[in-house]
Amino acid sequence: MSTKVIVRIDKTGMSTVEVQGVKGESCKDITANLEKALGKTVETTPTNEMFEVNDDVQVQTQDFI
Amino acid sequence: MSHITKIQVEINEDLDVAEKAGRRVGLQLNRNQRSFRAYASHNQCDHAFSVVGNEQAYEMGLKRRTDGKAGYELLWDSWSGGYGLVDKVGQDANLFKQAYATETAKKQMESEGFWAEETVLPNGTVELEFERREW
Repeated sequence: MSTKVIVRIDKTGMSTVEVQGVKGESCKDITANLEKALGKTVETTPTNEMFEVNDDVQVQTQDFI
Repeated sequence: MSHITKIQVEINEDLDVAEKAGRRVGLQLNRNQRSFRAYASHNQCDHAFSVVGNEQAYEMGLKRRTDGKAGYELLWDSWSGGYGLVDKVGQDANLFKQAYATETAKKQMESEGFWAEETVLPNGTVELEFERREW
C-alpha cells in the first residue's frame, strides 16, 4: 500500500493538497508540515476517507470473569 | 483521498528555494543586494532578483515582512512591463509564485521521504504527485 500526496499549483500560486491512501485523521499529520511551508491555508475540506477506520488497526477484546 | 486543502503561497525564509524558483522563470537571485532597479531611484530590499540576459529589465526585491511574521514580500515595478521583468515573473508575479510553491512543496516532501513526479497540465497548472512506499 502506498501513500500519495497530490499537489496542484495553479498559475496564481494557489495550491491544493490532496492525500490518498490514508484513512482517518492521520492524513492531516502527513501534510501538516507541507501546508505550513506553502503559506496560508484558505480552506480545508474533509472527504469520506477521513471518516473511515484504518484497516491496519486491530482491536482486541478480552473477557474478564 | 481524505482531505483537500487550499493554500495561498507565502514567501518564507528559505532563500535556497527562492533561488531555485527564480531559475525556473529566468531570474538570478542576488543575495544581500539592498536595492532593486525600478523607475524610482530608492527601492530598498534585502535581496533582489535580476532578469538573466537582460540588463535593462527592472528587478524584483525581496523585503522582510513588516507585519511581524517571518518571510519576505515581493516588490517590483511593472511600469512598461518592467522592460522584460513581467514577461518572466508574470502579472502580479504569479509565475514566480507558482514556481516558488512548486520548489517549496518538493523540498518539504522530499525531506519527509517522498519522491515526486512533476507534470504541467494543459491549463498551466503544475501537478506534483508524491509517493512514499510503505513496505
